[in-house]
Amino acid sequence: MTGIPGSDPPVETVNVGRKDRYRQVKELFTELLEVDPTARGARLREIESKDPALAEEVRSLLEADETEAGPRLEALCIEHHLGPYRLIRRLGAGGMGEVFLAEQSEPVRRRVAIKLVRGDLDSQEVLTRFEGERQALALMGHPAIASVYDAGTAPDGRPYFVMEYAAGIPITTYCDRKLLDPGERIELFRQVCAGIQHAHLKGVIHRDLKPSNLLVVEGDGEARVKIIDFGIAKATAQRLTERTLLTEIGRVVGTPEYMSPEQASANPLDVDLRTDVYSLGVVLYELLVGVRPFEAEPGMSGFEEMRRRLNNEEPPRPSTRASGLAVERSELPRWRHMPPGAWVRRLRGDLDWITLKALERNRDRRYQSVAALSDDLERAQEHEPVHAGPPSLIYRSRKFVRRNRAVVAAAALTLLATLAGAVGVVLGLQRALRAEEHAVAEAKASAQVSEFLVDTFRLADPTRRPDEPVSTEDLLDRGLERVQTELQGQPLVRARLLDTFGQIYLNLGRLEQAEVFSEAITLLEQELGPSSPQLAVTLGNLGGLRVEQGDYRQAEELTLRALGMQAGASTLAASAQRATNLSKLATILIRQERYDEAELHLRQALVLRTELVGPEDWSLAQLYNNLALVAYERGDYAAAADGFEEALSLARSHFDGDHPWIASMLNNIGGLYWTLERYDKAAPYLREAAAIRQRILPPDHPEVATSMGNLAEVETQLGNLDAAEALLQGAARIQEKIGAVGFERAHVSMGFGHLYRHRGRLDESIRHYRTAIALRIDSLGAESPYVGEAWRELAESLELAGRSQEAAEARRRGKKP
Amino acid sequence: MDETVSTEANTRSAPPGTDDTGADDTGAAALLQLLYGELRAMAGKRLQGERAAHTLQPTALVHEAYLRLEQQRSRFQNRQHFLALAARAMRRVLVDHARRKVAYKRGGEAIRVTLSGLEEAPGVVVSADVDPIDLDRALERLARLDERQVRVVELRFFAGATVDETALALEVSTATVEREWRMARAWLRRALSRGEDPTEPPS
Repeated sequence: MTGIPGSDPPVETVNVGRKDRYRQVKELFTELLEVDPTARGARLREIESKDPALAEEVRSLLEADETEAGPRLEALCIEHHLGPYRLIRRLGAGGMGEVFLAEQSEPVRRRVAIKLVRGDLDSQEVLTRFEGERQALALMGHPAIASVYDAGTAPDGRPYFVMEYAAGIPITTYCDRKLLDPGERIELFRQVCAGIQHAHLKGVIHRDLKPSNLLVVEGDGEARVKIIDFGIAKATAQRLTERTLLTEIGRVVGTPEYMSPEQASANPLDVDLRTDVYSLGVVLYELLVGVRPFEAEPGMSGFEEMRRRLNNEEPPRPSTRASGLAVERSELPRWRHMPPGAWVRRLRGDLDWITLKALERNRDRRYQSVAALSDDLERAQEHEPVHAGPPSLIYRSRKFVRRNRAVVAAAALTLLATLAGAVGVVLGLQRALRAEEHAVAEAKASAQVSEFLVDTFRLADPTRRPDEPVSTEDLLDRGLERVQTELQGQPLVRARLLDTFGQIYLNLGRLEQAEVFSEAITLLEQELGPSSPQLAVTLGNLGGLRVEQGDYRQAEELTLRALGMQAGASTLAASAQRATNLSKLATILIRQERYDEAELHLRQALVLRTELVGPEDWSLAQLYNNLALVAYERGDYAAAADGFEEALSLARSHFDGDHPWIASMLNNIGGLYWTLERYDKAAPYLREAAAIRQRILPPDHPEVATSMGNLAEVETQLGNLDAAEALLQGAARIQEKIGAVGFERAHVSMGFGHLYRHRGRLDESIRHYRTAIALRIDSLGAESPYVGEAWRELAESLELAGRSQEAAEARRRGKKP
Repeated sequence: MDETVSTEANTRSAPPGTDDTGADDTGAAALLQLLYGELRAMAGKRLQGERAAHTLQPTALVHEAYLRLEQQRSRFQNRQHFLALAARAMRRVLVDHARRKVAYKRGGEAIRVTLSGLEEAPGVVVSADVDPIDLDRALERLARLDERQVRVVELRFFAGATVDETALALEVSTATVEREWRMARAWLRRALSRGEDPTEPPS
């Protein structure tokens, strides 16, 4: 066996020519693998006309690639026997060893699966352990459990186990392949639970539950679960530590990701049935979300990293994680049947809590049995209250701080509420002026209102010199004065005008003057009784004022009363007003974190307004924005991204270039990506938002400073440190000039802290964090979670600077409640 | 088997060639030789035992060889280097074994190399056999067209390396490995099922 036989082509050039030809074939082969049969045929015919031999060569290779007949050439296995079992073929290989399909002839003829354990375990010890487990295993008889028949030692000394052969595929693969929805997944999963529960009752813990041990077998049109490998983990457990997870060459072969924290801990033998509950939690998570709660990342030293994360991190809620994945448009084949939004909504709530309860780090807080987990899942399926509830308040507030760190820093996503009134005014008045001819009195009032307004503005003209413009506010004040003095005999017209002035004051932020709504309401009630379309409008407007004043209770009451009067709105004008009030009510509810109700009202408003102005009107932008905000607050980031983008595109279609709405929407999209820690995606949005604000707002406006601060944080994260520094300095200058409040200044100090840490200028970083802490304590009180966050950041910089004692102290102070 | 590898034991075996392997220095040749001896001894022990009931898993063999060559390990640049050489050595071990069997008992119990389908749906048995000698000849022919594809086949097939391991060993991307493997497999399947005389250059 020494090299190429004598038939070598004699001339090198022949060889080269042949190689070139082969390369040509390879290129075509590779190209055609990717295309569909039609395109493939066409391309082959095209080649055939020029080079028939080439076409034939490629065609026959493609056929050989697709054929089921002939040698498969996958991996080598020289067949033989293992005791009384004839090995048929290798089914697979994993961290623990290899699995073969085999045939048993004595005492019964049957197919079995044989697991040949890796060669570095002490087979004697493994077999002894297995013997110890054998009686318990023999007691198990459940359709979902594959029996373990036998164990032995291969001629090369490796131990093997003989099991019932289950021709199935892993449960996760099965569910994805069949595009099962969450409900169907849970049904299968509960079959797993039933099998495990049976084993637990017989005193057998599995200890190595993972999808590859949970197979789904199809037969008689039914999907049945088979759990394999019972008893094997325990038999081989003597080194269920780092060593079994790593090969001798340091490559991770097993997955530590389904292991419970206690199993991964220093004493892996101190496990009870609740370790199976945990592993099932991981599987459930994976079934519902598509990824595991903690993924080992490539390049991590698998086991240690996993251990660290198990002990320190909270798994993200399933719905939140799924939603994040949907935003990133990852490949999620199982979403073909169900829109991502619907999927996420299905997970939110019960399924979130159930999964997290199974994954509790402390086993005493987990489900105490697999049956309890399964029962809760059943309750969720039946929409009955589940035992797993939202995590405790402490847990929640901790979550809140973490989730909102970005948002808080990003000065919160902007709720487009203050402009709702504006939309209402424009829409309402336009429609009103056009559609109310049928009501004579109303028309008269309307005409008078118009006249009056025109008059007021005309009046301004002669009194002012061209170089001395009258301010809008002067004009308004004068108008209001006229209303009060000149229209005493016309209560309806007066009410209408008071309402209009109130709206204008409200939009200008002069809340005290806007109280004229109350006067208008009194007039309307006197003239028209307790219920009238006009009254509904004004009540809604007063509600808007109460929102601005922070009195949500009264705001809600007023808006609801208005909506009650508008329930059967029959005119266009009334519908427009109703939409505005619905939107306003939603705003009030959002501020009280009552998102479900808010969404309901926003959707109603959307329907009404779409009927009035069509689906592409810019006025829908505000509704989309607020709907997206609701989605964001609930962690449904996919829907939020869609909503913000829709709002932005509507707003852009109406406003040329710069507009506060556009800046707000850009800020919102940027903030969303920030929350998802996608700084690269956040940056362009925040940059544009900051640029617009700089153009349309006075240079020393507080929002300009906030926008610059936000952007600086993202630039720091992206490593654009010079840009970040310039932004922070600009923001600080503005804040200095306008005497910004402590909380806002703390935001910039935190930014400097991060920046200088990235620059390695730790002393400065520490100094800025200390400033931020002082400012936050001053403005929010020492107990605020934001103060804690600043302490923790400080601790990190101190640690980096090698001042570990101070760091420990800072960490202690920053400890989450 | 002794823990240490005796040089003597190695030289007893048919020396692996160096010309068709792309091994470009004597260091590699010596290592190849070492591996060949080791793997051959290990495989021989299993294949020629008292009973015909044995398993021979190349993956396991290669892994075991790696453990056995503990003291020699520094001579390999790294695990990938080891794997690439072991794959080549493994191919020779199997082919030589088959040749001896054929010579010994002409047409009798030629060892059958089972090409098992790991990707098959469970329950479907695929046991298409191929004569290692035919396979070896086909590979020699392929080597004249595309060296790299042969290396990929050796690693994947004879050493049971994964795509990732193969990519590392050959210092190419996994996409390249998958592409080359797929074409080489098609080419070999075609060559083997046509029953072409592999020594005949293609027309």
